[in-house]
Amino acid sequence: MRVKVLCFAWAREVTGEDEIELEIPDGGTVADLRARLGEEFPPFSNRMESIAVSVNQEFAGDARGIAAGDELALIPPISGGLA
Amino acid sequence: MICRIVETPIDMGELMKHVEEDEVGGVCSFTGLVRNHSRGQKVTHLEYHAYPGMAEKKMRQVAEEIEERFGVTRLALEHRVGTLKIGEIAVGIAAASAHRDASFKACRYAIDRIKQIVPIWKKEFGEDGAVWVEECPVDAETA
Repeated sequence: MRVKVLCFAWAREVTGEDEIELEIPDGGTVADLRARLGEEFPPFSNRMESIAVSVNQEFAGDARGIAAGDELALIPPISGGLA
Repeated sequence: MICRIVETPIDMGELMKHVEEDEVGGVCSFTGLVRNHSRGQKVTHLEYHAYPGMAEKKMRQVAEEIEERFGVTRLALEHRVGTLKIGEIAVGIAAASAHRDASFKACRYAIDRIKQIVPIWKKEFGEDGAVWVEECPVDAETA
């Protein structure tokens, strides 16, 4: 299935788009999305562990299933700051 | 309760007024400002970007955690997005409670937790160009 993925901050600069479309297996997971993302945009491969994925505006682990129409987003590290 | 992303200047007085009521004995606030230096480099201005919708949703989660932990329900959280100049307010927090301890704790927890789980990004502009400040990878298990 084709899914739409929102891109923010550094991820937005890598893809050049606010939103990209990726093809993942039907019944796929966040792990499948990451694999496809790394193939399509190699800069993600080197730092995949620092990029969080959200599904329907909630952070999701790699095992989380993705359904057609889910709102997906790539969340690079947030601004943080020294305490 | 206020939990919102704004594009206009943050008014700390308004946030503090918002959390007051007759049974409140203490109001504590935190003001996060744009600083003119970062990691030894001069900063000229900043850009803040948010994931609309999710950022406010996660701010509401922070407010819920504060109610659970400290019993504080009189809370105002605002984060500004867009281009900010040095000295402008990027984040404003006000918390009120009957006795002071809870509002101090709520304020501290709010700023630390916002920086962990609310999807807002900061781009720093200096003399040598611009960089995304990426200090806190989100841990999906605890966010």
